[in-house]
Amino acid sequence: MSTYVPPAPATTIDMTEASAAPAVVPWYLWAVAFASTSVLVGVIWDISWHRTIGRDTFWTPAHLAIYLGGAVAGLSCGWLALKTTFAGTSGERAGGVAFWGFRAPLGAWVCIWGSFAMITSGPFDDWWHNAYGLDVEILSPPHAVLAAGILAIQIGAMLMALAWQNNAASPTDRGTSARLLLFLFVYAGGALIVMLATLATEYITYPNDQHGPQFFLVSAGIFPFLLIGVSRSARFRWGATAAAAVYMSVTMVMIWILQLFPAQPMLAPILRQVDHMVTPAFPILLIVPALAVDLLMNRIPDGAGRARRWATAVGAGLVLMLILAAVQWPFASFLLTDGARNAFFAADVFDYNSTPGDWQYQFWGDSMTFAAARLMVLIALASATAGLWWGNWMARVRR
Amino acid sequence: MTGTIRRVASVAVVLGAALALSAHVGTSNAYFEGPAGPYGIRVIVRTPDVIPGLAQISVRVTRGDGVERVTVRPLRWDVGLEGAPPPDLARPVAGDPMLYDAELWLMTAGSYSVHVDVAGAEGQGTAFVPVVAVAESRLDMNRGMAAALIGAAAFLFVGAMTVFGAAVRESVLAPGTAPDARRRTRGRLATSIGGVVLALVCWGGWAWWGAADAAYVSRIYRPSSTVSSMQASAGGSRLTLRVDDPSWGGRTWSPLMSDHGKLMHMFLIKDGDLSAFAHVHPLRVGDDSFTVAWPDLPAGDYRIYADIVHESGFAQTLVDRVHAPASQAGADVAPVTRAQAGATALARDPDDSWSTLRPLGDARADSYGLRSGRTIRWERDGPAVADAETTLNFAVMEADGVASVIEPYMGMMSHAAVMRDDGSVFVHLHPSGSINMAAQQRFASAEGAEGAGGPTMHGMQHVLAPENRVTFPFVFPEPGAYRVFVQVKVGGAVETAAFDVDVEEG
Repeated sequence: MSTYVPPAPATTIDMTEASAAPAVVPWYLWAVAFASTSVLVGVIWDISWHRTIGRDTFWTPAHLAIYLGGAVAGLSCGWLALKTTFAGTSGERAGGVAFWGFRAPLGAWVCIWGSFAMITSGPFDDWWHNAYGLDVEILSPPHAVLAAGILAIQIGAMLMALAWQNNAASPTDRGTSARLLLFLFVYAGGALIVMLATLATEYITYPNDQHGPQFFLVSAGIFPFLLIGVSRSARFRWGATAAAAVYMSVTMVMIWILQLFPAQPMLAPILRQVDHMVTPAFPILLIVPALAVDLLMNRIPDGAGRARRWATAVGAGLVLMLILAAVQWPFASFLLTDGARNAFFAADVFDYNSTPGDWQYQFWGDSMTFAAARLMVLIALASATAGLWWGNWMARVRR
Repeated sequence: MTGTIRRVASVAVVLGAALALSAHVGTSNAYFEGPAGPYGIRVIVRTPDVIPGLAQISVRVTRGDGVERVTVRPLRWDVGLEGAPPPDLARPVAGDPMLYDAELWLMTAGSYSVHVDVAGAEGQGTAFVPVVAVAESRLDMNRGMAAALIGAAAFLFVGAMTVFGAAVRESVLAPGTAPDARRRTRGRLATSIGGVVLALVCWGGWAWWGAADAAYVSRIYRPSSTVSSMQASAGGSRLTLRVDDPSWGGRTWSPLMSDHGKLMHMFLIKDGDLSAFAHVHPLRVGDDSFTVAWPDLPAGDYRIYADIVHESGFAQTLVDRVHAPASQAGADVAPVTRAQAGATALARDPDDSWSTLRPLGDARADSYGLRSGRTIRWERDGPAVADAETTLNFAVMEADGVASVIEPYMGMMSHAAVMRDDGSVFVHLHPSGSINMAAQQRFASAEGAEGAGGPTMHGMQHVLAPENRVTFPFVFPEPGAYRVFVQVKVGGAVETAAFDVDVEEG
């Protein structure tokens, strides 16, 4: 099996100063990767904070981590845009896209947009709390604006790494900087999966939901799109697998770290004894279906036509869902057993304001139905098609 | 977009008007004055308008020296202290060594008690201050905030469209390659399509916001709906108040419990000039109906405020109106038959009282002369200001100027009702504040703390010491013209006085 090579760009490669393979990874890629991590950790920490302590202010460390990430992304990319526009070399300016008379890489503009969206969500969220009370759900309109900003920063980080990757002298370059760029790309892809899975916490991440139609329908919307997109665009055979590994690793590390910290609920009613930070649910075993996606996507030959690429991607999407079901169905059952009630799986950790009861280790709602499975297939088809389109475009991004 | 903001504003205005006639009748703030062990304290709990929200707690130490620490904790009725967070330290207020401030989150709607703990040189004492936590309003968005959000949204909208266009036009070109005409066209197309998609996203977001708003508004507290009717009988007339709320008796509500030995305290106030007042105690006749012999009051339209308290400690005031024709007055009404038990009860509760009063605006003086010749004097401590802690002090004098001796009346030294002239505010007060005494006893009993500064102890102090003065801690919730009705029992008879007061903006 040959190494996947992305399709040739639409125009002739002009190896200018900006497009040459970098000797070192530019600072702003690290800055954006840091911002992405800070936001990621902050969001997971904040959700844990609400589930453990309850009471918060603007100044909680979790909030500060989120807004630090937003600030670092916005300021570093803003600086890059100003420098490129007003003090950049002709090569640097040529490596950007135009935006209201300014020039900077596309990913930088996406990050700046994300940073502004995060800033906008702040007062909006504050007003929302005052108008409707402290939010007790993850998804609300102001949080959706915040999430859009956070997702934009993750996508911007991916695009900036991609532009450098796709401008490398050789698609098969495996030098240090190329490896770092690859790492930054799949890391950003994994961070994007973490963020979307976190946003969908109330629908897919609790094992109690993972035999129900909601889990499969939402998963079909998210995972084929992300994994096929990343697999298609990474200059690496195992792009989707690596991104899924990042998602699982980040989530597991957060589980193992958060539970080390003592904490105490600060809001009534306290319905159960909680003495350490409440952890996220154990991650979905996404690495297994992601491996299948990479294996299938790698079978697309160089110069394959659109129909062949689409058929393969759609097949990969359906296989992904089949394998996800085959793996996660028994794993969800396991997570509800005594065997998962330990520090590794942390399946016995619940919010301070949830009443202890049998519901903790039971499946919730209806089980999967044939009608839901049909709908899942349709959603997976659409999601895989969109993922292929997105991946094709990302494979060609050079600015 | 301006239109939509206006729509939000108009909804808020309508909502505000509705609220003026509903939840706890204008304020759900709680005022308590009484003992906490060896200390005397006055507690004001300003409840949040939204739930979950922050309650502002003010604790003034009125008796006792050497206070070292004041803490507060929220107790939800069903989990008590066991499910309460650790105590929050109330901060001393600069410039007033006896005043302490704290904030507490009330996370769910329902019955709570603020557990106040005072510790110092004289020992430690606690008090329970019942609070009803309900969402009462939805904040309006001010113009500045709306403009800022619209500006930010427009910036993000146009920015995202520009990113879409740049992505399609240039992002896949090798650095230095200028986009050709075809790419520029595709870029413009992407910008346009992106705009349409974003508009759809915004429309979806707006619909989501509307749905969240509607769901919130549906959770705003409204007292159980009621229907009032007058029934004529040979000996007089009877007023029946029937709760016709679909949720009544359902799982949402716990059963009623008595307060001062009565299931319901009903106030009848003549609409308009507020010149007639009654404090009566209807008998429950069935699951949802209460009935009372109509007192000897002039004909006219009457506002009804009926206080009840549930076993959870959740107190609510039912609000209604009724028209009393001239012929409805009747002192000798036939006995009421208790529908469920089949037992016979007296037509009138012995603690029922009523009186005609000077019309609104004609009782601005500090003294109110009663028909018995006695006077009740309001010893004002300054102009009345909205949202400011105050004490309503009254002294009762005999006709010859000698201090009267106030007798206990339903376990309290006095009862008062404060009403705004338009009926939008109504609060039933005792010397111990606006808290519901039955709810306070319920919380104290649940924590095994009946003797820890409970209402009985407070009442006994007044009973044991002959006194002609009563005081009520209060905070006028908003500016306007108010009437304060004061009821005391002297010489075996209940006397009612009225005082008019204009409350200024705080």
